[in-house]
Amino acid sequence: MIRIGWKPTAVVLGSALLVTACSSSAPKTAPVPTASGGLVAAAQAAASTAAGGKRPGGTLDLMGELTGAQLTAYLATLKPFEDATGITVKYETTADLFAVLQTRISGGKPPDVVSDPSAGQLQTLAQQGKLTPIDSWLNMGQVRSQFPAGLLNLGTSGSHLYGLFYNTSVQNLVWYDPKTYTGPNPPTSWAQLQTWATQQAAAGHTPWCVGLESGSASGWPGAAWIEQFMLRQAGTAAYDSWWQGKLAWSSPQVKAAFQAFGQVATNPRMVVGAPTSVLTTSFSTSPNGLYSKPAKCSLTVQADWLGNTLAQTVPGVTPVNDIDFFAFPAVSSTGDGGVIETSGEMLATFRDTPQTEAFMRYLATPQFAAMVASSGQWLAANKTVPATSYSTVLEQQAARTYDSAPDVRYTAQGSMPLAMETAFFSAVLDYVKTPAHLDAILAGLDRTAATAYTK
Amino acid sequence: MTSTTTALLAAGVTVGVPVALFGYLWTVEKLLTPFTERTRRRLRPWAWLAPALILIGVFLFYPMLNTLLLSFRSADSGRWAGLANFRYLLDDAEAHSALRNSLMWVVLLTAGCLLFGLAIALLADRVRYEVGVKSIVVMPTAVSFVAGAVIWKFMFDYQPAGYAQTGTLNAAWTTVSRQPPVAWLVDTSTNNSALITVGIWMTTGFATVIISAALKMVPAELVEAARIDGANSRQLLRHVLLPQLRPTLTVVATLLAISAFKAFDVVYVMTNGNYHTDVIANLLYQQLFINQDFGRASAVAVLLTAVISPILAINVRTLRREGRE
Amino acid sequence: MASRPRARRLPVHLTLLVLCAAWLVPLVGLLVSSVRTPYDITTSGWWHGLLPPYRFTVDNYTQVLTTGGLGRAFVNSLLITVPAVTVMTSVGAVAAYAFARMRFAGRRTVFIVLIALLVVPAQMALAPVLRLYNTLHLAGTFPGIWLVHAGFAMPFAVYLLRNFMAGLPEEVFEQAAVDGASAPTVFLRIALPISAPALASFAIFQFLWVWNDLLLALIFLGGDPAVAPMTVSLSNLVNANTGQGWQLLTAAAFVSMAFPLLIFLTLQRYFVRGLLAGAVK
Repeated sequence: MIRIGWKPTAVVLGSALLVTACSSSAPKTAPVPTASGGLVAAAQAAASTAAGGKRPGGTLDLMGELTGAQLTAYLATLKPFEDATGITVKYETTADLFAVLQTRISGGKPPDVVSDPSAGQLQTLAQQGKLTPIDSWLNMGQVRSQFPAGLLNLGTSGSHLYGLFYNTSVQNLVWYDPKTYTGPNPPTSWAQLQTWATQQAAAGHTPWCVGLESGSASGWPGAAWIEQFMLRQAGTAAYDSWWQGKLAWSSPQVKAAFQAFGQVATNPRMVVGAPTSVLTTSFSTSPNGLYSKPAKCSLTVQADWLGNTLAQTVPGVTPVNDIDFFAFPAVSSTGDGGVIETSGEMLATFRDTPQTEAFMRYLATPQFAAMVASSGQWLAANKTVPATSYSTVLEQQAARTYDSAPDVRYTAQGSMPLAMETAFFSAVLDYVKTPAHLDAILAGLDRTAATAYTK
Repeated sequence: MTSTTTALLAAGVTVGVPVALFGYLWTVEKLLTPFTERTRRRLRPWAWLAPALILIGVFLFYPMLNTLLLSFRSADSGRWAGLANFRYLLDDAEAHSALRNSLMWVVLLTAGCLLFGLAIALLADRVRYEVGVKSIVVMPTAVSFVAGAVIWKFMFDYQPAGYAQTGTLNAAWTTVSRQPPVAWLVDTSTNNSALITVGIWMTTGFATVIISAALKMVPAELVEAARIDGANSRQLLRHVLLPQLRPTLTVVATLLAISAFKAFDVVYVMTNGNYHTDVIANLLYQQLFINQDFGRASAVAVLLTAVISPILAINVRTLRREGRE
Repeated sequence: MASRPRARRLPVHLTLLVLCAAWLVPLVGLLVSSVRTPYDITTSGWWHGLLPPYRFTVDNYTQVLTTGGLGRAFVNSLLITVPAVTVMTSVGAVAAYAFARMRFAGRRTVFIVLIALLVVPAQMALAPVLRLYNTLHLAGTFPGIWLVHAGFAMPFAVYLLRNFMAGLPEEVFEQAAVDGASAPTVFLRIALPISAPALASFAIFQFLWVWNDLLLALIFLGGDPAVAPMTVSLSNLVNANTGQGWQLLTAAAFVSMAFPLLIFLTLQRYFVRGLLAGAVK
């Protein structure tokens, strides 16, 4: 706090404290795999075509929030573009993307391109007319055949496309330690899994680890659970109208999703010390409970990056032997069992220049997607990349899950307007703390929705 | 700009600005020479204030006017909104809760920092390891908020009852009291105090050093005279030191209160206002950057200024008293 | 003040000891944690690091210190902080002196407006200033960030320094007036040296705050590594998405704290009473 006098509040959120909630694997200790020469050459050729065979040169100011090894990997995927077009990509990192981006826009100095985990924020900016449409730059037929429809819809406002997903990460995988997990694998339904979990609980073994603490973004992991129940219980149509603000928070579907999550997160037989420990435990350390002695849990829910991350932080843990996952099981016949939920970063541009045009066209190419796949950090949003091009077994499994999904939905929290997203996170915490207040909490979210969507 | 030219420029500014400033004062004095003493006395202060007033005008006064105007306009500043933004502040439960918490910050943070600052400054003045004490108290000021959040996570950490506590406070609490651990940041009866404690920890160094500097400027003769008159430590403090320190204590209290009203980072990184810990500055951040409602954000800023006015009144009184002396 | 009665000393030492301990515990916790592995940190309290078996690691420090461009960022931090603090201290001291020692119409009004401006939330001022900077081509430049820091700090500077300068004994100035010294000379030769403790205190805190600033650097300089200060590069240590690397913040805290503390200790000598005593004599 307290920078007396005139020190503007340093809005540092270090990342564990970030309003992101999303994506990506491999912490910085992991070496960044280098793409093979063939991939690079192909990407250069694609970049050159994207620039119309010219070398426009100049610079491109790209704002985002990646850091460390991820940033290095990200820049490596853009290197062929820089080499082929002569355009220098200047990456501006900020941990507080919303504040910095808003200020830069209202100060009249937006970056050329933004790489944003909140597609909702970009939707708002597109509606405000701040973004440049990119569909006239692209071969939309090719784009439609290669990117999941759910992700393209999110980058669309009116009849124009504004944003393209760079990377993706499969959310809400159920992780377990194969040495100790004795339940159905994979479970055919959520009911089957919960029956096993209840038996475990009765025998005195708490089955789940859930941690919602994430600094200023606390609550997002719970929001991800609830989104998953929306997909699996209410279905994609309800899911879409929900994040679009057309389905009320107080509707039976949303309420049921909160309650399904609550059956795990507010029950001390399901999670050690619930509900308080669920609120105080960090999302990044709660999976360690799989390996504590005695183990605090057998199961935890997290995105595809968790496996490799645990392997690098918990002594003696190796992928597949000690950590593995299955997809979130089907919940009810009214829901969509196979549709998966992803997170990632959407790129959109504020300017119509030869540099930004070439850049956005490069992002749409399969050759660029192959570079992303080879980075060892993310799945490529473009579905043309074969699963075998990923470097770790867990990533290959995640890629197969992604490629075989009938459709893909971006995480609802990242699709909503920012104001709705933050209210959602707070509501999750309030609900876990006092489940009895659920109706009031949902009514409060409806009030937020009344203003959040009008801008 | 290359790094070498930047370095040269930085060095030039560091040396050049004070020199240029003195040159400016000296030139003003030369220009004023032809005038009468009376005119000189009237013009000189404004010439001396000019550089500061220009900076303030550009960076604060103009933006503040801007803010005042925006507070009467709609979210995107496109329409006239009358008093709607202020009405929202009056009606909104979150705004009320933020205001209540902010007042709590003002009272506890100001009192805590003044008390500890005064105590440490006075006591440290009497020992040889004064520098060491002050360095320790100042150290937290040098810690960034993110690091501060990490530090205090180690303090406030919570593990369910029956598990080994990893947080300092809960380890001590459960060992001493044999009671279940406390979720300091989640439990609404402790969380605001917990956050304010972090604030006091980070800010007391400021109060200490400023009070200590004022203490050093108390003329030694005054203290000696009191000693010769047989004053004990308490009498010395009450009748000599405190009256001498009063202007400084007023200044420090004002600055502390203002910074408590503007407290943001600790709350933002540790709870983000959840569990009823929101403060006014969080509200501002939320309206400005998350909701993108410039009208309401501006209204919050105006409210902030309005709430602070009693403190300004105290300063006016102090200033008047000094003027009479 | 002179330290006299020896019998009363023990309570003083004890109280100071307790207060220092209270202030140190969180820092010691951080220091110990900074040499432990992330898994150890999350599974046992930091004090276990002080007990055998010892499993210290310098990994966190190695990683922080080898972060790309940390040296460059350190230089940038210096290039931002030193001129900014010089500008705000010198301009602030001149204005504070005018408020403290000169009588003029409108003095009180201007001063009150100034205190009122202490309240302006910086976030509100950012966009208008950035618009201005775009017109003047100051965005992304060092002079731009010096000025913005100086501007935001000015009410604080004037308010704090005026307090000290108003408290200076009248006699020294009367003596100077008798000698016929000009106003700038009195300011330079008498007011500034006597105010050294106050100026040093102000400069130190501003140094700490500017050094730790992240928001202004991000808004007005941008995250471009060529100009980014240490706060920006250290804030990039943690993986925004997975929370991995948060343990690096423990080491980063000490690395970024080291230099400002050194400055504080160096400037300590300006806090001694001797300067004032000498001047009054």
